[in-house]
Amino acid sequence: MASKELIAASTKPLVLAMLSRGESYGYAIIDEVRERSGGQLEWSEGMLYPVLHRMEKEKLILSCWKVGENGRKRKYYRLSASGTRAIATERTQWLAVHETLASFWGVETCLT
Amino acid sequence: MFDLEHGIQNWKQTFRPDTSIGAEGAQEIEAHLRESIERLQSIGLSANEAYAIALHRLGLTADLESEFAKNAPVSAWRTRIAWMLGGYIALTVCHGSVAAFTALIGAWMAVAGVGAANAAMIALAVQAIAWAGLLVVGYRTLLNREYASDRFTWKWAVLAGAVMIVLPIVAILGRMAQMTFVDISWFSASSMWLAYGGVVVNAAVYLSCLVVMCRLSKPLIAVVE
Repeated sequence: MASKELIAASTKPLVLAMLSRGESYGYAIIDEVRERSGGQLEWSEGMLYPVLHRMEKEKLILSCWKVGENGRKRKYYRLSASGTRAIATERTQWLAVHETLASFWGVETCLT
Repeated sequence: MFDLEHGIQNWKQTFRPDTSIGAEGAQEIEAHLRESIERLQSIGLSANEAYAIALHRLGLTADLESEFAKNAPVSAWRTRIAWMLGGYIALTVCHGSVAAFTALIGAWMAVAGVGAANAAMIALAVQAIAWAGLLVVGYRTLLNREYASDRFTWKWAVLAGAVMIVLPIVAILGRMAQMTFVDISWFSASSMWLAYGGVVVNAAVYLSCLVVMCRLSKPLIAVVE
């Protein structure tokens, strides 16, 4: 289980990575992150929304209301051009942290 | 029997009147809550259980609000100032209507020939009742409000402006009617009573306002029934 601080720091890159696979909405983002992390990253669900709104304000992502397959209105988010560029920066930074830790702990670098 | 819609309405009450989440954010989170409840129900949970778990996963509204507030620090203050100005207009209108109402009652008492001391007592009672009524109406309106309808529209602006002009005129007419029917000594006899009683009424209105503000600024805790 990741610490609160680590979860807060990793929300932005996770959202960017998730949306690079196509548009999505709050509930599905949380669901997929939980699934992909094998339950290691359990967000307090409401906390995603202020982050999404902040990222929208920073023009990293764009949003629009649509009716989902269950007939309910949902706010869908997708990457903007600057969001796509931000992924590269985030990736470099996170890999730098990962590689440094791996050099101490001897974990195999398998991400590049 | 647990009523899901009622539960969701209860949860909406946990939003502060000046919530930083905003109408759109609140809709988005409500959609999330409903979807979460639906999925939990589809795996066999009862409405009550699904509601409780979905709320727990969502986290406390107060935490959400403080996170949302970080997004727009300026806007939070803009909202607060808007509420203060709205409160000022509302209080001015309330004050004007109480004054106009008291003046009309006073005119009636002057015509009916009520004694000065009795007239002062009745005027004070009328003031107290009018304030109590206005406070109760205001409190109930704010308590049951829809967060999406926190808008001061043109309709309300025009209405408030008109009322703020009409009420003092009504008050003046009432006083003029009073003066034509009673002697000046009647006024001096009742003025002492009104002055002392006014202190009590004002203090009571002030204390009631404090109580109303305390109760409104505390978000109600979501109750799982």
